[in-house]
Amino acid sequence: MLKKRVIPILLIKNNDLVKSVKYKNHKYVGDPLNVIKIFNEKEIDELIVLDIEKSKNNDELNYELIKKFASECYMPLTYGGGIKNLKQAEKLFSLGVEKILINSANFSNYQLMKNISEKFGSQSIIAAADINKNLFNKFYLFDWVNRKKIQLDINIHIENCIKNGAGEVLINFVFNEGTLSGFDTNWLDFINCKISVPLIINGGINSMKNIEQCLECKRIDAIGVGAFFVYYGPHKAVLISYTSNKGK
Amino acid sequence: MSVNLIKCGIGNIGSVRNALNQIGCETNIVENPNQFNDNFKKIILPGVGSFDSFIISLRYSGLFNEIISLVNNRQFSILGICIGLQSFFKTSEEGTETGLSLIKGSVVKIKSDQDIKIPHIGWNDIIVDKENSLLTDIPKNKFYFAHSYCVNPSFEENISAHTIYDKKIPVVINYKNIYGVQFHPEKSFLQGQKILKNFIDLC
Repeated sequence: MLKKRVIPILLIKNNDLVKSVKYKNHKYVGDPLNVIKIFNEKEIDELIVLDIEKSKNNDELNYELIKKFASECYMPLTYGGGIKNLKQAEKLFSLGVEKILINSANFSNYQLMKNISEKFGSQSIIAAADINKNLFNKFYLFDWVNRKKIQLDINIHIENCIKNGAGEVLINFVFNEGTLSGFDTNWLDFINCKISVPLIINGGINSMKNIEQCLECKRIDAIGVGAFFVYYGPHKAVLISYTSNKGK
Repeated sequence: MSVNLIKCGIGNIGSVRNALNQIGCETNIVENPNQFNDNFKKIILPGVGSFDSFIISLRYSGLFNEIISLVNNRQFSILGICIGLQSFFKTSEEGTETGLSLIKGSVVKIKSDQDIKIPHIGWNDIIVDKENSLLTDIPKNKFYFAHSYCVNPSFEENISAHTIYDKKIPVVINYKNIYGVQFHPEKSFLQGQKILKNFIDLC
C-alpha cells in the first residue's frame, strides 16, 4: 500500500534556514545541514528545500550548498528556487537531487518544465502553485516574487502544468503559510480540474490531528509541513520535530 | 569493497555514491568503457531520466556495448536502479530506443482500472515472491519509488518481489548475474543500504 507522505519544507536564504509567515518576515531558525541531520535520524518521508533568495535574483544557484544537502540527505530531496534553464536542472540531478520544483518560471511559459520532463521524466518535477485570497475570500494565483496577483485561472494553470510534464503538483496556501492556524481541507473545493498526478498541499499545518485530517482527505497525496516541524510552544522556540504517517 | 559505479549523463550518482560510502564501499566512477576496474566484477547502473534519453547517453559514451559484453561474456554482476533496471529490457512504451536487452520482457506504462495517480511516488511495501540474496535480512520492507513505467519480464521466475499499486508491479528482478530494483535503495534508509550491501557481498 502506498503511504501518504508527510514532507517537511525548508526555506533557505543566504545559506541559512529561515521561516516566514505568509511568505514575509523571514526569521533565522538555524543551520540547514544540522536540521537535515536531525531529519535523517527521524527517517522522514521526503524533504523539500526552497532557496527563496535565488528566485528573486538572477544569481547562479548555490550548488555548493545544494551538493552538501544532497550528500547529507538519506531521503529523497526536492530542490526549488531560481531554476531557469535545462542546464541548471541537469546539474542539480547530477548533484543527487531527486526532484526539482518549478514555480514562477511556469508563469512566463511551460516550456522549461516540458523540456525537463522530456529529458528526466515527469517523476522528477513538482509544479508549485501559490494561492492567495482576496478580501472576499476568493482564491487567486499569486506571484510571490513580485507579490502580485497573476491573471491566470488557477485550475487552468494546474491543468497546463500537468499537461506539460509536472509529475506532482504542490499547492501552497500563502495566506495561511507559517501561521500555525491549521489547514482546512475545504480549501481544496476550488479544484475543478482533474489532478491525475500526486497532489501535495502546504500552508498552516498546526497539529498531529490536523495532519491526520489531511491524510484522510482523498484529494491529498502528500502534506507539506513548515512551521509545525520547526517551532515548539507559544513563543515559537526553534525545535525540529517530525511525525510520520503511522497509518496508511 | 569496491564497485564500478556508472555515471552516464543524467545519473543521480551523488546519492548512490553516498549510500555506498555509508556501507563502507568504495566507488570507481565509470564514464567511458576504459574506466571499468576488473578487480571487482560488480557494476551499479543508477539512473534518472526518460528511457530514450538514458539509452542515448549510454550509447553516446560507448558504455552500451561494453556493459553487454562485461555482463554476458565476462560474468560481471550488474545492479540496475529505477531507469537503470528498465534499460535492461529491449523496449519501453516510454520511447523508441532499443535497450540493453539483457533480460527478456519489456517496459510498460503503469496501468490500472482504478483512477490512480501516475507517477507512483512515495513509500510502498515490497512483497517477496522468491527468495533472493539481494533481499537477505532487510530490516524493513518499505522503499521509495518514483516512476511512471514498470518492467514486465517475460518469465515470472525473474521476479523476486513486487509491490501493489492497485495492481502488482514487479520491483526486484534477477536473472543470472543481472539484478535490478525499481525503487531507490539509495534513498530508502537502512533497508536500502542493506540491499546495496547484499549486492556488493554477492560472490
